[in-house]
Amino acid sequence: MLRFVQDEIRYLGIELGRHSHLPNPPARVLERRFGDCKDKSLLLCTALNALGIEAYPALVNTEAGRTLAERQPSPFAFDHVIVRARLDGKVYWLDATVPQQRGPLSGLPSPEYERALVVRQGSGELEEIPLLSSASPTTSVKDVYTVESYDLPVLLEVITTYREADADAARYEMA
Amino acid sequence: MIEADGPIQIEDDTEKNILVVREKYNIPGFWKDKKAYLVAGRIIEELSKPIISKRSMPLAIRFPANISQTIEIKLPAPIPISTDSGTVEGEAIRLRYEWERSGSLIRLDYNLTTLRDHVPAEKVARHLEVIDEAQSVLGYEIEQGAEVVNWGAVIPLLGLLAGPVLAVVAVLGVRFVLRRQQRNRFKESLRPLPGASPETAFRISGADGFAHHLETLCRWCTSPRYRGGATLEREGFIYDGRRFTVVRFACEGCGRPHDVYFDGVVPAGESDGG
Repeated sequence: MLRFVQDEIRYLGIELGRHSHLPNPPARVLERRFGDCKDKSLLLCTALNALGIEAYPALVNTEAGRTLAERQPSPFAFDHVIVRARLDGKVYWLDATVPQQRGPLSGLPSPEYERALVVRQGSGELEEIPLLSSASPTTSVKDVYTVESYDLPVLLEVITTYREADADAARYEMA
Repeated sequence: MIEADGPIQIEDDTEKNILVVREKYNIPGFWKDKKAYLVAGRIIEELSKPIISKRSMPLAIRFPANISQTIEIKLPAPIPISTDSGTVEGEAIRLRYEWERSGSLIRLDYNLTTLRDHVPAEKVARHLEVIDEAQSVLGYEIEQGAEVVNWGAVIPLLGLLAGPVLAVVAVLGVRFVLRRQQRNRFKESLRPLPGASPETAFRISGADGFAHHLETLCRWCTSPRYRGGATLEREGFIYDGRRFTVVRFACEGCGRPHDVYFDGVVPAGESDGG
């Protein structure tokens, strides 16, 4: 479902009038196949809820990180919406606007926004989105120079291996 | 000039989320004066310094980041290199490196991890020193044709002449000098040339003009890069509270772009006369 909303619903916002802040109904987003972050997040939450998975939209700030908690409350504190989902007791932070994201759910990197306000009844505190370091390199470059003779051109082979979020970013750049 | 040796190959394992890109190139001009630099470019890219170093605000660091780069060079014959390994670590970064040789194969291994997402303002100066230290081990100069020193033969000979202590000291001393020379040469190659950055910008005065600063040799084709024919583009900016002008033009020998920085404002009409 996450892949469907990420890849099949174009990330496009027409933020005029009340829909600059109010998400479009999921049925409309599904029908016209485009939407902004709040449209896509609400669509994903609705679909996950229909599958029996707990999911809520979560407001984040893409620049502030954890310093968001030091700011005064304001309707302008947030500039993006993601999804907080719980599956088998584990919390996942899903960004429905990331294109070309792949890999298993267990290996999904958390968005680097650090703090989120989950949009649900009774929610009044920012929740931490943990930043997880990868134990192994997420980008590995191997340069192999072969010098058969000092008079001949040198052959260079470059093998770059991307993993996790770096693979998603590289795939998106090449798409 | 580097030439591609076939199309780029991409393997995408979407189940495991592993993307592999393979590139091949021919490099005719690899050796300059029988020497070449092996540089961990991907790591250097990650260790760039901020434009403004004197700060009252923290410096953001990409975190988490874990990047490795391995450089291997297979040579026609063994050449001497100083093997070494170590760690350069500071407030926000950790760089591990290992240089080794096996016969005619030289291998340089690097791994960079970031430790936190920012450096407090009061620790930025130290962080920049750590970056300098890290950059000094991120490249290696090799020289073709040099003969490998046979330490196995040298050590017993020195031992007979002056005892085992002298032998060890001599070997370590030679290795230290060799290593330091290779590092220093690499550091020198990373140091910005005069006019190549705001820190090394040329001072200009009204009477002096500036075009003569553009006439030095091109670092790539080694011919005079500006002989009065190239189109000069100027752009003014303020850096660290001072006004600078960057003059952009293409080398008249090879066409590669050059940026030359001047401390002050270069008047539009002055150009071109120098």
